[in-house]
Amino acid sequence: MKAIAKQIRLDMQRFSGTGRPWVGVLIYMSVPCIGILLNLVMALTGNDGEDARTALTGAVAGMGIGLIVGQVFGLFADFNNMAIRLNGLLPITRDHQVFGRYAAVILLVLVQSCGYAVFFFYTTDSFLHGRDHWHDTVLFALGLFLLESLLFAVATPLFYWLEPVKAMIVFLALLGLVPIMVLIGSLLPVDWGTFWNSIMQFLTSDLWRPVLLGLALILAVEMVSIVLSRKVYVRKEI
Amino acid sequence: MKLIISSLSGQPIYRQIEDQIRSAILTGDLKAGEGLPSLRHLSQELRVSVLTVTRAYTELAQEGLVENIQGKGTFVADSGDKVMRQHLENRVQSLLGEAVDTARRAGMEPDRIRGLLDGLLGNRGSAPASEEGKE
Amino acid sequence: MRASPPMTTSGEEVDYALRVSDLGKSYVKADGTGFRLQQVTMDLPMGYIMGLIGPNGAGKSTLIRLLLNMTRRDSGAISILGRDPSSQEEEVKADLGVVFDSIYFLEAWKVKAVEPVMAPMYPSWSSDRYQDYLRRFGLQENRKIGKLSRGMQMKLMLAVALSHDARLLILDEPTSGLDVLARDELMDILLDYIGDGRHSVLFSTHITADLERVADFVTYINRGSVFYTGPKDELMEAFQIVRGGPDDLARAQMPHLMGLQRSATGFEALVPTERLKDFLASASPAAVEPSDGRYLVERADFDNIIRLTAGSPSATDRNKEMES
Repeated sequence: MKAIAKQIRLDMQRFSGTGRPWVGVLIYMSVPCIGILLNLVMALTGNDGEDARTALTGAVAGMGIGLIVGQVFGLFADFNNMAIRLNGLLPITRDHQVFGRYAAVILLVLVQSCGYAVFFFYTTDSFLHGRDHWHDTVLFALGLFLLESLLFAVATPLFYWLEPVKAMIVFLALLGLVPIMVLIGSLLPVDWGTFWNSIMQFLTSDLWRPVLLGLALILAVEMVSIVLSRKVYVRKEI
Repeated sequence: MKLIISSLSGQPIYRQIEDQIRSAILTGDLKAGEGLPSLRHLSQELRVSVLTVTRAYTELAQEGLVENIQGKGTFVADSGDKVMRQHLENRVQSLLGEAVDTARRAGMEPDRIRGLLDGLLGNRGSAPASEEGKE
Repeated sequence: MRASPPMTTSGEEVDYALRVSDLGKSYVKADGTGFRLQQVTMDLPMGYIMGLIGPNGAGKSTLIRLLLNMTRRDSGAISILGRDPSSQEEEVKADLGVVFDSIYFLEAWKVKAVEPVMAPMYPSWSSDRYQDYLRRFGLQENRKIGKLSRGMQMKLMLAVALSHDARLLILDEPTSGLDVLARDELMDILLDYIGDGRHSVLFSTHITADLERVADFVTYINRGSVFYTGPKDELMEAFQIVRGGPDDLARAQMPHLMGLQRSATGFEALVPTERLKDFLASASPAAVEPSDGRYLVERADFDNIIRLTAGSPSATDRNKEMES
């Protein structure tokens, strides 16, 4: 447990690039904070239309997702030939390094999602028009958390397995599969409109069902991902 | 105690240490009962390995010139008289041997060499060096 | 070739910083090419310095990586401070200080980022000592690590390695890129470090001059196997180098030498000290004295030994050849 904590701390330090973990957290919180600030300025200047708010929300969310993806991939830069040897001499077993890495990434994603939840709650109108604002906020934060966790669950084993550049290429190639699947989906004789409607129905029906389902899904995905990472990393020559 | 180590001379370093300590004892620079520097201390001072110093001390101890007292260190042996005399005689013998070699190379006759030696000894007769083997 | 462990006062139990026995690791591919480290056995008693020598590609770095569990061994056993580094990795590594031939911190970091990262890793981290070393080495906290010279980067790693009271220091080519002064300083530090008899050092180097003075033990690895491991002084006396003219080497002398280099003007042969007599006797005509004018005989230093044995199979193979 102590060794895993060491790894989490180390990853936070690497993540911030300065050796100080709270700088990393600060970076995460900065985007929603700026969003809230901008919103405040807009409100004070009377430029408070719904369109402007929606645009702002979109911009801030996009920026935030870009930021976290960039930062966390930066975390994996220590798998290049030179820096990886630090992993070889620290008093942390490889298993504990893997557990710590996953914990650190989940922690970061969680912090970010919470930051965005605050931002969302205070600055946006409900995107599911007319529903309870709390409800929407939770769904928004959960959606962000799920999306990012899924991305890293796919990326992490790749980075344990391959050189950083190759891993990045494979990861991007996998992302490229998404539009292809959408294309294939559109060719299938399924009524997508009805399908999405039923999903929206499900999401808006109550809160606990989508949350539990989402968390269970991410737990399962993470488990598979951890198993893969351990298997790959234990054989790796550092 | 003065110790000068050459890393270029063909002689192993432990032998250089050994020789210099031995001659310090023989010339009386190191007195009976006097302590030698600790192994690790001397190793740091001379910037040579601990085992090298250990070996020099061990060989001196085997000759009986120094004694290792467990937990206290290494001391110049007290029982030295006999051993010491032996060493001095060996030393004289080797120096004389060197002198004779040089004399031969210079083409000096044995009588001439004896004459020189007698001259150095003054007119006093003196006990011949013992016929012990080399060290 | 293998020499006995060091002389200790009889009855005293020898405490080992490092024991390796029959260690093997194969990188041989299906087509038979590749590298193999085999049957590596060596012991480093607590309180001493061991040098690891051998030509590039002989397996020194592979051995160090195996010790650190950075790559998995195929066979054999390793014990560091009495523990197996693969099953008790965290305990072992907490007691290890490591310096690699190039920096293992991210180059984008500043020097001052190192302590907050490394200090929590080791329970026995001493900030005072670390700061002392930084001052002593002239390392400025605001410099970027990537901008430091190679020598300064080595010193930074050394400062880290020395600041958590590691019982065993493992240094992989620490002196490459250091000038004479810095190398001297490093040797002083190492001797000081083992001064209390509770700390040990294993360092690999191809600059054998460093080692000829301060190392207590030497392990010479050649083509993946141990050529010699034991007290350094014994290896330094084990071989003589004999030089002579181009026509002064007879066939009958060949079995008595371990390595040979010929040139237009003469030859250099590496002869085990105990075979020097036989070597000289089997010359034609026989040489009685080493210094009869035909041959120049000198004690072989490490460079000579490595140079003249590196091309040849390991000593044991060679002995088998000679016997058959």
